[in-house]
Amino acid sequence: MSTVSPTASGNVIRSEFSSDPDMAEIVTMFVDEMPAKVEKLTQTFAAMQFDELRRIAHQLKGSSGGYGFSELGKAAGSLEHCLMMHADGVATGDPVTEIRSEFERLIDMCKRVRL
Amino acid sequence: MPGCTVSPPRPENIFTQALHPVRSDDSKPILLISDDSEDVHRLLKARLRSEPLDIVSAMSGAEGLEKAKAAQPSVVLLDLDMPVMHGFAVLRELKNDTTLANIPVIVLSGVDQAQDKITAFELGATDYVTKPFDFAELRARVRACMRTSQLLRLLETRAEVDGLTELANRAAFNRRWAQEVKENHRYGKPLSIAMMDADHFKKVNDTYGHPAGDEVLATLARIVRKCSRSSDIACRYGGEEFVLIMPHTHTTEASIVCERIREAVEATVWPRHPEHKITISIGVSGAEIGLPQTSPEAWLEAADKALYTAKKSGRNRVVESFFDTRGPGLAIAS
Repeated sequence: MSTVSPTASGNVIRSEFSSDPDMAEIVTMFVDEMPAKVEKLTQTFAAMQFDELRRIAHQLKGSSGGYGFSELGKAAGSLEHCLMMHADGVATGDPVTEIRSEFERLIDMCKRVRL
Repeated sequence: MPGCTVSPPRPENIFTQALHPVRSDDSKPILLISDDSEDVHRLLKARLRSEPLDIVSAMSGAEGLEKAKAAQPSVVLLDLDMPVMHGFAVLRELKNDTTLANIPVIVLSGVDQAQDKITAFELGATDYVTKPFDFAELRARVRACMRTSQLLRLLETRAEVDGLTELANRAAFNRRWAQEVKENHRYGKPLSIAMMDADHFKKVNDTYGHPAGDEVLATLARIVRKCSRSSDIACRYGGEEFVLIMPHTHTTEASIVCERIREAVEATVWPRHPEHKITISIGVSGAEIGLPQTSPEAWLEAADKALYTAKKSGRNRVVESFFDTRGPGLAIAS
């Protein structure tokens, strides 16, 4: 039985494959590694290393769906897209504000990931 | 007394004298995954757990290439977006290597762009899958590529094997012989070749019919194979002519092998025509040292001349020709 973290702002997010015996072991690994990933994302954002942030978001986008967390994958994709737009100078809004908004949304979801 | 006996014809494994390394039957086909993401490896291993294949993992393009050479996989899953060596560079190298070029490659990419797909297919990819992928679909695609891979391997083998005798065919002989002569030139290792021809073979066909003739050819092939060593390469040269490549073998030794073959042919009783004996004439040409001046064609011609001498001097015999160390001259001794 998992408990909801006090920092989470919504319901827990569970893997679409939670009942698949082939996947149980690696979904557990993914969930267990989540706090370290949140920590890494937070540090990278704080240091404004946007290229590195984009790389992590890209990887998360690619892998989350595979573990049955497609919504998380979409949030990571939005952050990646936003970072790309600003890197390319296509976006018009304030970069830090917009990136922060996408970043916070992703972190919030990461914290709600459960088995 | 013949040095070897030959049992009646039965279906034989065509790989007995395979020209390429063939994996033993008990091992599963290998799937090589080349991707820099730990997650992809983990997910694919879980998703492909029940498939009858062994997975080899590579975390970079260079490692993927290296492992492809070592493991000779049946299918490669290749990520495009890898640092240092990009997937396209790996794909190009795979397709430029003749020993790897026929392995189906499924490209994995985070980018769903037409240009990348075009490039991948132009470079020789078999399939293109975008991340995040549906694993059931990817599994089906891997299975499809495994089937293609098996058929290609079968085709490669078939293209080198003579249908009637199951020996290496003429094309395979040409390639292998050129290779062995090159080795002789480079390292100076002994090398011999024998050219053999069934005596009065036309008479068998004319008197007993072509099925009887075919049976003689198939049995001769079995005798050649059985009386030679596992390192020798028996080939059907054409019609009723066979050649036997004997690497690391000098003429005297080669003649002993050939004499064994000649005796075994002579001693064979033919079920379709027990009253009609078959004999074989053999010309041997070998060298104890490297002969850098002698082309594969000239060397073969020397064996052919020795065979001609064997025919002229009464058939059913082995005639040696050997190269003089002073030059590519030919001396024939019977």
